[in-house]
Amino acid sequence: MAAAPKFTGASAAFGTLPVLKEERELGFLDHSWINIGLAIATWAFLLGGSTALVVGARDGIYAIIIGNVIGVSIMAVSVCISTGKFGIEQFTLMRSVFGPVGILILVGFFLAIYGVGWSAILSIMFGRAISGVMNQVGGTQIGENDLGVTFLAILAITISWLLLWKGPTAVKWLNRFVGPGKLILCFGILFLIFSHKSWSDIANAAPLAPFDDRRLNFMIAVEFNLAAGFGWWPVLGNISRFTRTPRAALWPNLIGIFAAAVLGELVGLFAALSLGSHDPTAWMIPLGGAFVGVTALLFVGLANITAIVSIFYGMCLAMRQAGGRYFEALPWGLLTGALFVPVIVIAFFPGQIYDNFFKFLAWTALGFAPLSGVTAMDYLVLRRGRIKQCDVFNDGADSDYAFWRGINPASFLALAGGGIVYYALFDPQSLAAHGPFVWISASVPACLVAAILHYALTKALVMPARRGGY
Amino acid sequence: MTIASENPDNEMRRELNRRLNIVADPSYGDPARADISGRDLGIWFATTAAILIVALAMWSGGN
Repeated sequence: MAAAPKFTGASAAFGTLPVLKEERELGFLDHSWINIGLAIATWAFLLGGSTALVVGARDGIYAIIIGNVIGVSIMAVSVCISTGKFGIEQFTLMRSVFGPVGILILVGFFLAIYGVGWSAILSIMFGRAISGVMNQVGGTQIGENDLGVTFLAILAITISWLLLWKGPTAVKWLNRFVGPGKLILCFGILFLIFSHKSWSDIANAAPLAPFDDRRLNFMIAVEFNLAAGFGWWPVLGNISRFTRTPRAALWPNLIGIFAAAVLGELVGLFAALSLGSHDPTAWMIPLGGAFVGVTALLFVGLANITAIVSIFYGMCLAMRQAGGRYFEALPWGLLTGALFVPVIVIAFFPGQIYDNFFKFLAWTALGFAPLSGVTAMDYLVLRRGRIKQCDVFNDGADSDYAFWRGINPASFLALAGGGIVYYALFDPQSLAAHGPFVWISASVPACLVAAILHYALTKALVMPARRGGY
Repeated sequence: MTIASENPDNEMRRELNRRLNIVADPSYGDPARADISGRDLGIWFATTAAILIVALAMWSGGN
């Protein structure tokens, strides 16, 4: 008789356990509204501003649509269908792809970089927004990369940590007016832009820092937006697990994430081209004047705090889930505090991090595009939608998903293969493009190669060894 | 409230087992647990492909 399974996948709260029918609260419309709230955020302005670095308004509109629709269509299929069906926390369910130790490595390394990077960018954005307010109202003269911005960023990190430690429910309350406020901010910026400039002014505005080759500029803009689409991978599965039907799990990603992100990014694109800066904190006062500008900057600061808390809450929960017994004993305040330390260090380099946001974005695509390919191939093709739920919570060697010492080498080799393809086509650090990048981008081939490699390696190695429960 | 793996019987584990037993029951009806149909997936990719093709056509038409 087999030993009793050692259940360790769930931790922290009952909210991480498989949800039952009566706990599925999200219908089609509810899921759409949540996704709209997520997608229209200050990061959408940053993405639109980054797109304006390399292309003008016309090319930018198409790059934003093309990049987001490809990224969202693949990413949604790769995570939302499975989590929606089983109602299991995303990173617990992904043990079936990477193994229990494998998912710990993935979460501890890759997701930590993602969460720390995004939080650093948003906290520096907070620093710049509030320093803009202080300069306008208090007469200070804090430069955009001064130590004052760093101290304000650390203030944002401290507030976020206190909220995360003592009461994430406070963020739910804040989001009740931050969410609608983001929509008002979006339309307010659009109104102010078009009350100052005509469409032809914006359409004829030159990109801020383009390369010489127009086709290359367009594909880099598409690549930024592919990165944005694929970048939702670690976030959306834990929302769709609460949906009531498969359709409600899938389609709101197109209505919410795709459409709303496109709207937010277009606002960022037009504002950046109109005002000649890709930094959203530099738009508000020139656009709205002192009162409106200061109010908007204060709101941007507040919105960034809620965004940092949301990112870190998901990340810390995922770490506890993936870490099983290793992280269970760690106090919540200590775990969250430890993860904020690298964010504080990064905040001392505001110019290098914030102004190179698009490079960070490209680096994340190097990871998330292959991840989307591997997880979609595993669930839809190799498993045909079948997962043994009991075994994803079982750390023992008798679990179908134990693979080899808790790691599935096929999925990791596939991820590495996809990452290498990405890097061979597009260097995220220098933005140097190689080979057919200008025709096929880097994220799409990286996603496809990773998916095909995962299929081939699973058929050739994992299935013959009778591992993985395929 | 955590599920300490070293402890074979705690509240979290009992709740997890209860839930897994419920969803494993063949008579348990939860519409979300239905497999997404091939038709739905086909419509999803057809829709996103249509958006992509229209955007590409409009972009290349302007060049």
